[in-house]
Amino acid sequence: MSPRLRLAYFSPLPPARSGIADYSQELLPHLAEVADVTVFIEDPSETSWLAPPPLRLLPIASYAGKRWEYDITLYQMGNSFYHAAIYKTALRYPGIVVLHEHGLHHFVTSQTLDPGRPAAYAREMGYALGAEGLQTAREVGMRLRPPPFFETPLTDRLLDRSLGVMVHSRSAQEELLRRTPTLRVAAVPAPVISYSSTGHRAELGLPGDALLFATFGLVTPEKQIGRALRAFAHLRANVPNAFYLVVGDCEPAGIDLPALVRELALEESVLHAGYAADLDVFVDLIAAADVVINLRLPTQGEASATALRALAAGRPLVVFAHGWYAELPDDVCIKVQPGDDDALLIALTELADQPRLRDELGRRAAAYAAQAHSPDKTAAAYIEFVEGVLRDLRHHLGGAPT
Amino acid sequence: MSGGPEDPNLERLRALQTLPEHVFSSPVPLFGPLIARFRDLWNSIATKWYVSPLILQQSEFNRLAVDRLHLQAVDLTEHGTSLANHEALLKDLADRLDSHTARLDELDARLIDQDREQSALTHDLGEAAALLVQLNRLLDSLDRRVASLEEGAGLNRERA
Repeated sequence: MSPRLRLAYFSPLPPARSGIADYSQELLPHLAEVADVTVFIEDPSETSWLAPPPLRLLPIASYAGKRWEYDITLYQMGNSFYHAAIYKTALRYPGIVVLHEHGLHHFVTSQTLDPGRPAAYAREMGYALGAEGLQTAREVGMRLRPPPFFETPLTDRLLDRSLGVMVHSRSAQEELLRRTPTLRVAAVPAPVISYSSTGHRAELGLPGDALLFATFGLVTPEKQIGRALRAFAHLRANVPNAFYLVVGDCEPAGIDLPALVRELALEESVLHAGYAADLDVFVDLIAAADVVINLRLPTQGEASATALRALAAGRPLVVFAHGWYAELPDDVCIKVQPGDDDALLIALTELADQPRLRDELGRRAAAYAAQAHSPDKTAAAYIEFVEGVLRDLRHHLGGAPT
Repeated sequence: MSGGPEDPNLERLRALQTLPEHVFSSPVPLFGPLIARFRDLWNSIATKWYVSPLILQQSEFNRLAVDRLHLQAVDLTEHGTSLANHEALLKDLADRLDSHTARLDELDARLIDQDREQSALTHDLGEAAALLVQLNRLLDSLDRRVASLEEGAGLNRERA
């Protein structure tokens, strides 16, 4: 029997406005059941999360001196500035990266271009694409073109250094292997917890017969809120009791949601709840929805925590059929072709007209989430992959010891 | 290039810049000089008093204009030479820029290669570090087993 693994675990934690903070909050207690886990964050005094024993929280600054105490280090890496210190440590002390999106271009620009370091950006582009990347970086620096956020993932340096990578979709795994065939990479299920929730529906002040569609998460152009609201506006012409709830902040330079709602004359039927700081409130709002619309175009291979929470809450879910979303079983959600507005309207109309379809979808969704995405299952997949990497290392570096 | 100090057109202008006073003459035999003398006398009475200043003024104007043209021709020649020098300099700079750009591209390529090599080395170091941890763990385990065996052997000796 293998000895119990000792893992160092890097991740943002609540109250960071990051889905990965919630992810880790839910996964860590389960991971701690099968391994000795020490969590490293920038400042342990700033987290609102009370780590259940035997989990320990330590500052990232202390990791360098303690790194020999761990069999392997896990780095949760996402596409936001919350991961800056994690990224630096992962480059300096290679471990296993859990890559939540297969592109990190937004993150890299937040660390290079945004603070006025175009040479650092050029270095990353050069690393990824050679001379062509340097030329593109120069043009971006001179504002002749926008950064190629979705065309160039800028994960090459991190992947080259890492001992292994875990992702949450087969499509992301295939994409990584296409780019780096020698990479140790595994697709592990994203975890989700099913919360018992009564929902916040009464607090929304809706009519008793209201049919509530909802979208969750940061309102960005990629979330296609405009497309969803246009389909909803068409739907509402025939379904006057339909309402639409938007939960999440709007990016300052992104979608102007109030203007969009005015343009579509939906002032009476669209509610904007803003950012739900508390996870309990967030899942309550999901439970309050009759249909959750979770569109992404383009997708960066991310597994959507919102989509998983909707499935776990037994909510009918509408997604675009690509990336991770396409890998969801066909009978637990409704998938429409990316960008097909007619198909989207048909899907919403079917869900509005058929309460039984909503019930059946929701039931199957909850069963699927409980079976395929339990945190225990994710923790077991983590351990299996880490042990596989260590076995591979022993084999790769001389065959012993075991 | 025309207009230089040796320009024949400019030399012709300079030759014509001063208007000479008209000298009367007559082809009539015997009385010719008398007739010419008379015309000259009449000219000095009728027109010379106001034409001469005009001739002088025009001649001075012509001189100044020719001098100016000469200076401009000299300037033009100098500018032409300077332009040719600058063109040669620009070509040299362009050649050097091409050479530096090519060198810079080479350095960029080398830096990128070194950057990637550093990543590969860091990766290998990470693997070695992970394996070292595993070796330490194995050594700890062996130490414990040896200690346990030694403890067992000590007990057996005591019993014996």
